[in-house]
Amino acid sequence: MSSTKTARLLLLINVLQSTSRPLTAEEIRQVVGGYAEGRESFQRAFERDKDALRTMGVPLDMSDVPGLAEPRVGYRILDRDLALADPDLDHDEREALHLAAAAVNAGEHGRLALMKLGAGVSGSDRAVEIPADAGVAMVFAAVIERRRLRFSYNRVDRTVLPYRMQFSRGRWYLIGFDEGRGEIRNYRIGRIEGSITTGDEPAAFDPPEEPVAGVTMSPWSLHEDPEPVEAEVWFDPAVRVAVRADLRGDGIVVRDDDDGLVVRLPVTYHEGFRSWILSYLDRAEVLGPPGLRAQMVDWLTKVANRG
Amino acid sequence: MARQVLDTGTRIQRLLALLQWVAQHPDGVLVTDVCQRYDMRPEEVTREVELAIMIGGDTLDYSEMPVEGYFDGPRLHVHLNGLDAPMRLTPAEGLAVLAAAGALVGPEPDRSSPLWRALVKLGSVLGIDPAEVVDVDLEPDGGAVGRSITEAIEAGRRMRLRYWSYGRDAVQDREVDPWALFNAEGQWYLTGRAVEVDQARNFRLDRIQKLEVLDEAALPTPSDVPRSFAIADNSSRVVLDLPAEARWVTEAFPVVAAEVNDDGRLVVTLVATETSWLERLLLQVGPDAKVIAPRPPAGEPDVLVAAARRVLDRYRSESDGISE
Repeated sequence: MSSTKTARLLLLINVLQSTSRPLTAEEIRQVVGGYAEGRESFQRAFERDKDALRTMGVPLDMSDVPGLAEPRVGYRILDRDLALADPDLDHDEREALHLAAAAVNAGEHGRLALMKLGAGVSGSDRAVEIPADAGVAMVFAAVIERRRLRFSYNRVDRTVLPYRMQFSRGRWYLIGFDEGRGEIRNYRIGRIEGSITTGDEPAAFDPPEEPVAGVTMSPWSLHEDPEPVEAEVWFDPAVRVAVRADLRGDGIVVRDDDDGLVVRLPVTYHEGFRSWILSYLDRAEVLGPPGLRAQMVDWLTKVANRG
Repeated sequence: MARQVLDTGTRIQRLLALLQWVAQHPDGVLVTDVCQRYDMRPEEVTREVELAIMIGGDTLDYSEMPVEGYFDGPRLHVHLNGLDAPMRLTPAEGLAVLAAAGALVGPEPDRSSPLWRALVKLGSVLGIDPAEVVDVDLEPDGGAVGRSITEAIEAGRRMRLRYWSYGRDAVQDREVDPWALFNAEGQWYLTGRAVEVDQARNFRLDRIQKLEVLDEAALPTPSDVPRSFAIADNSSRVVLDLPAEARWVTEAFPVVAAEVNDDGRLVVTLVATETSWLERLLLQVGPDAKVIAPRPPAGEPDVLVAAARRVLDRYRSESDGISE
């Protein structure tokens, strides 16, 4: 990091904020100073500075400089763009945010947010973390501004109305209306292929009328199936705690004793169910219904007979 | 906590927040309070403030210089002629603070709590209902088991765990000197010294069946506790030939190398620590998976076939009429 660059950017912010009319690049060069000689190197440096300001959340307003014979573009920072509408947090609310950000390690972005909100920050050595890369931030911006998103997912180009986001098992998901498919879909943001494009138009859609369901993390119900099957499964007592953690309150416990744990649960996605059961190897057994049990035996038999 | 090298943008935003906060106090602020609030060292505060008061010194008249500031013994005074507009949150910052707060309020928030009120106010500034837009599913302290372990770590006590090892598919009582908790991919782990083998081990919290804090003191925690998984170089490698649909394997397992063949099939090299773990992967992929290396001894079934037969035995031993 360079103190010269820091000082120059701060001066640039100050000059563009206090000016009464847009300033041309040449005027900026004279007032701010510290830029390299030569027109081209100045322009490169100025472009970099503009990008740096944008990344910080300081948007530049570009408009024609008035009163010039030949129209020239000028730059300034408008207070209405710069200022965060004051959320008017009370002392205990700032303190609560501070503690929350320390407890989950909200990262550098979280620290900056707290500083801007007037709350203190402190080092957090908590290992739990909610990571958010540029793609996640972009999706969030589109969610709050209600802009369409375009991206490729599973090798299909999509146009999505972004409704909400969910963080589960260490990953961010987007839940939105896929215009091509005509239905609400879930996307793991880390699996989006290539770049994400945000639509130009804000408030491009109305928020959904009904609350939108979250992403399920249960393999047996990853896909909607019109007719769920109620499975009954036995588990070895050795894996009882792990199974209950997987269930997360889903399903009904029929029995839980020294002979094992027996649960009933609604299955809407057979492949996911099979995978989940197989992850317990011979410590799990599908007891019923007969159709589901036969599917499992069939799969295992195919594998066993392959050799 | 290790201090990161700040990039220019972060540094500027921190400096502006600091100046604006101090400027709100006409009688100045103790430097020690500034340090605590912004997680800085006193010499950093001095350096940053000295940088700020020079801004515009080369080009502006003195009266136009945006920042005035001076140190008066232990106190810092700041007056701003410019740079006084609070900066808005970038989307990444808004999300970070909403997510952190959202993780702590949980699914059934106490609507009178300061955190919930802060969340609602932030939401209204961003123009959203936070509860409908961001949902964070995270137990920030590892739940009841996590809290017990944290207490044991703080008290420096040894623990006894009844633990199901997923890799070996075995339940054992283990004595552990606990070092630290960490979270990876949304799961909580304990890292510590397994007393019997005198080696570092990781234990996933949701596989701990019983936990007992012993009276015995734990050996001192080493200074450099690893808080993530590292793939050991000496672990054995497995090479698999998988159908195209099994692309998920490359995301769900520690893959060392993956290649796509012309026919779309994947050749994947994995670090395999335990057999049970490989059996699961193969059974989940199904009959179309092949083990390229290591090959089983001549005349013996490979890992996949052997595992399928073993699981099938469970179904066949039941007298419910299922036949081959």
